[in-house]
Amino acid sequence: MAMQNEISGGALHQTSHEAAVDEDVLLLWILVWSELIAFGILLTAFLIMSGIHADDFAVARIHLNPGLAAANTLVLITSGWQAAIAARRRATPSKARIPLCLAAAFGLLFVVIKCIEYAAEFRYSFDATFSYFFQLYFLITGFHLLHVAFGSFVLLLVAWRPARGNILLIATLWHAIDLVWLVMFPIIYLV
Amino acid sequence: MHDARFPILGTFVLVLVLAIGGASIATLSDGSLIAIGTVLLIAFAKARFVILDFMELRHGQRGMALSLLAWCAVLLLVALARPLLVSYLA
Repeated sequence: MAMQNEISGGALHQTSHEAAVDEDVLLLWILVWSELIAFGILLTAFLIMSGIHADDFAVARIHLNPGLAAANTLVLITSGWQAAIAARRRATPSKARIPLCLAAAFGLLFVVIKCIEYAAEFRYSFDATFSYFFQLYFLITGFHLLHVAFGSFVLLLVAWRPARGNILLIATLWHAIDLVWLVMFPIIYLV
Repeated sequence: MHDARFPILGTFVLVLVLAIGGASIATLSDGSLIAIGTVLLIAFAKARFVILDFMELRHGQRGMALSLLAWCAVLLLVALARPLLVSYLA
């Protein structure tokens, strides 16, 4: 009887611990918002400069490859979907391994496609006419690319040693990176 | 935060369709104000689904969901303001 109580008490403790892991997300949201504020400032700077140098920005934008960027949007959405599946399986962390690995694989595919895109665009960055556009373009998209590359590495790390709290943390951060791209894509490439 | 009833695959397909639709409109349009507005609206719709369903905020943390939606809305509205201003001045 005493042993049964001890076991049920242990299970109760574990359940309340798991609930606590999901509730203690203050630092996670601080981290998410620090990213969103940083990207918000950069995108606002881009929008202001595109207003001041409207003609130069319009011409510079012709040298971008929106087709590859659109493909990258689909890749990042697929990666986010896998991260969301992993987050929903966090109660049994071992079941989140495969979606975490897939999310990382799509993240790395995003990096590869972006590097191919950069290879064609890099030569225009030396043109003085487009200097404002390409300085901001490489700063904003490069900063985002570093987040995707590092995030993919962390996704693989969490897949290797899955834990409920870590799965929730990296999945939420991954969605924030996804969110930044969804807003950044039309601002930089289309509008 | 978790809601097993909502089909996450449905959200994924919907966001993919929106992404393809948005990119197609942007490619095929002549850069008119309506096309720009539509592309930005589609971007907001995609972000909304990511926030509510992928981030699991549809049924909890309403304040956080609203503030994330506001972040997207403000940036996309500023993006829309520039062509609006240009067309108004022209």
